[in-house]
Amino acid sequence: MASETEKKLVLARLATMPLDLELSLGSMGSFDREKLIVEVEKGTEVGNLVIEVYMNYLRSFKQRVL
Amino acid sequence: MANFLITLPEHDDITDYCSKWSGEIVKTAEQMRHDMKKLKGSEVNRKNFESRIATHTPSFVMLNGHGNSKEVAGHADEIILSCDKSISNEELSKGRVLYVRACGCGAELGPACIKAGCKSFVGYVRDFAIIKSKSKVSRPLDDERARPFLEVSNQIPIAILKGSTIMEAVVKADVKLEKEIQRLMTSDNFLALHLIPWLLWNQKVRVILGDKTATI
Repeated sequence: MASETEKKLVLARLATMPLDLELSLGSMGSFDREKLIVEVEKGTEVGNLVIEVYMNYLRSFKQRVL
Repeated sequence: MANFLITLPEHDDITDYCSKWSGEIVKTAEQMRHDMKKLKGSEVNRKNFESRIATHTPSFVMLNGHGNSKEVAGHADEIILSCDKSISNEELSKGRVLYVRACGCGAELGPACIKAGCKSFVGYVRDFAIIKSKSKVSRPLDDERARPFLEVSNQIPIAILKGSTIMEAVVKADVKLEKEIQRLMTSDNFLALHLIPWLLWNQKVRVILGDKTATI
C-alpha cells in the first residue's frame, strides 16, 4: 500500500509527462498522462503499479548516485 | 542450424508493436540460416501452434502476445500455451528453449514448463511495459520512444539465435539497457524521467528459469 507521500511524489512526476507519451501494459491497456493521474489518485491496480515503478526508480537512482 | 518458431500476432497496438519490432529477430534467424517458421496475424491460434510444434520440432520458440501468470495468447487473445487445467499443454515446451514476451507468464507458466521438461524459459513475472508515442501508433517502427523497450528485449532472442547461452543473452540485454539509460540521461531529462523507470521495471520482473547455460 502506497503512502500519501509516495502518491504525491508520483503525481508530481506524472504532471511532467509529455502529452504524446502513452504507457502500454499488456492486456490492461494503454494509459496517457491524464489516465495515469486518475489511476494513481483512485488507487487502482494500475495506479499502485505506477507508484511502485516510479518509487523503485527513485530508490535505484539514489543508489546509483551514492 | 536450429529450428526456430516465432509468433507474430498483430491484432492490437501492443501485439503490433512487438511483432513489427521482431523484424530484427527474424532477420537474424535468416542470417544465421536457422530453419524458421513464422505464425503471423490470424495464423497465431492454438491449432496452428500445436501443429507447428509437432511438425517443425523447434529447439527455440519465441512467443509475442498477451499473457497472464498461467497463459500466453495469440491472435485475438486466443490462448495458445497454458498450464491452466482447462488446456494444460505446457508439455509442448519439453526439450526446448522458450522466450515469452508477454505479461506475467514467468510466474506460473514458466515453472510449469520447466517441470514438463522445458530446457530454459525466459519471461516476465509481472506486466511487460512499453512506453510509446501516441502519434506513432500507426507506424510502430518510427516510434523512437518505444524503440529502447523493444530493442532491449530483442537482444535476448537475437543472442540466442547467434549461439549465446541463455545467461549470456540476458547479460547482452542488460548491457543494451545500460547504454539506453546512459543515452537517455544525457539527452533528455523529461523523457528519461518517464522511460527509465519502466525500462528498469521490465528488467526487474524478467526471470530465467531452467538451464542458464543452455544453447540452441
